[in-house]
Amino acid sequence: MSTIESLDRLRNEFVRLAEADGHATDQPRQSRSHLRPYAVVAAICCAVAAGAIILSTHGGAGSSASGGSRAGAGQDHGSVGGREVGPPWSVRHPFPGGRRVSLGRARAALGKAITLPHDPLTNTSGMGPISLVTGDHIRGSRTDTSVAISYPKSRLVVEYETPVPYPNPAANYRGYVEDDQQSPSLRHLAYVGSVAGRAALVIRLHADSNRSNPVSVEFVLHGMRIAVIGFQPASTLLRVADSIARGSR
Amino acid sequence: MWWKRRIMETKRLRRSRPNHLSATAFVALYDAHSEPLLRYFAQRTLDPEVAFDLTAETFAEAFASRSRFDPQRGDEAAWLYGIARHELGSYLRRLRVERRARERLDIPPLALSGSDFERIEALIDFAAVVRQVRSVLQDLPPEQREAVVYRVIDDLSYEQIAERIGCTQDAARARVRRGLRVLARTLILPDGDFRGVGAQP
Repeated sequence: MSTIESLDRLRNEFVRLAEADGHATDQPRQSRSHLRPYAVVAAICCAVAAGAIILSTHGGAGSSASGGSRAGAGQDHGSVGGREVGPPWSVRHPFPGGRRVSLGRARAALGKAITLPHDPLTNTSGMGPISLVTGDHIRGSRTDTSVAISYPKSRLVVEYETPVPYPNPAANYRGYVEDDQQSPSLRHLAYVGSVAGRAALVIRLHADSNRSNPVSVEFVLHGMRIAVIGFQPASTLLRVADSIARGSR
Repeated sequence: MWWKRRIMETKRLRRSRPNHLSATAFVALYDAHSEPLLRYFAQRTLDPEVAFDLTAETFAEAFASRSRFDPQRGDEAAWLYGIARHELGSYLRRLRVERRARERLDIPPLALSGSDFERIEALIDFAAVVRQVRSVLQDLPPEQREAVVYRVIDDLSYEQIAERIGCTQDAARARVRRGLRVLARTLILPDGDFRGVGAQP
């Protein structure tokens, strides 16, 4: 039991869900004994192949194989008990705890071409770190991958996310804006704009109750959610967003 | 044979670690990590309501996707905090906590009581906050600065703050909350990038 009652009430919700679902999820997996001989053969083949690769790449050292899947395990996934779990957010660290990667690696992780903006604010010479966050764990059945490209000199970030976290972007943006209409302090926070004829969610500069938020222009292009975030006027970021949409044609 | 030993070892490991997170194990995970996770969010947002919302959404997202938990990629805590970072990042970008996972699971909105609000505030190390944001305090609007100083530096209760300022407890809480949200931005943006003009020293 926590001293915070709300945590206990939340726990009750999860206990309810676990009880409703536990019967199915706690069952042991169905036996597949008829597949066992094939599995053993396959496992032996894999092990031999893996051994050959290790021997060829590590000179037979036999250390733990550090392939692609280990890269995820090696990153700072955070921790518990008050330990730091990654750097905070900024232009140079757009994702708390994100990994620095090359553009090619980011492209491979997204599984889609990354169209860079073509704008004086986003010269490739001004391009800073590229951050990657992947989450096999996130969004139920989907693998969520986000890439952020920083332009520190322009204090601007362009994010690419796949899959798109909402089925209908225009409806999602309208809902976002309509929600705000009910709150006097957020009434002027965002509006639905347009990027190359597509619906876009535009969050205005310093429009939240703290007067400190950046501008964000968010839209969907070729199955990716793209957001241009910075402290320039919204019209400037819409121009940057437009250059992405035009460049992808 | 070395490869035979490797297969046996792999099988032993797989037997000892389930390849999904059972519903029962999830509740144990909640018990172990709900409060540390709440503290994690509270220290980064300085906002008890936002911190609680983020905690709830993180656990809901984790519950909804627990079948995809892969112990080979890290333990449960690492997995949970991966989701937490994602939720925090999303909140920082979109200025709101998402409710998708909770809606999908039909978890109703849970409002914080006044006492819970203060208990969550207690998870924040205000002494450390004050050290880092002392200069920014001067830039808060006077009524927010006054309320934040009473709460964070003088450690007064909301009842006492309301009495001194001459407003209701709810109004006092709202002033402190607004002020702390401005200060939170200075904490999460330590290198000055993306620091709002309103929060500039």
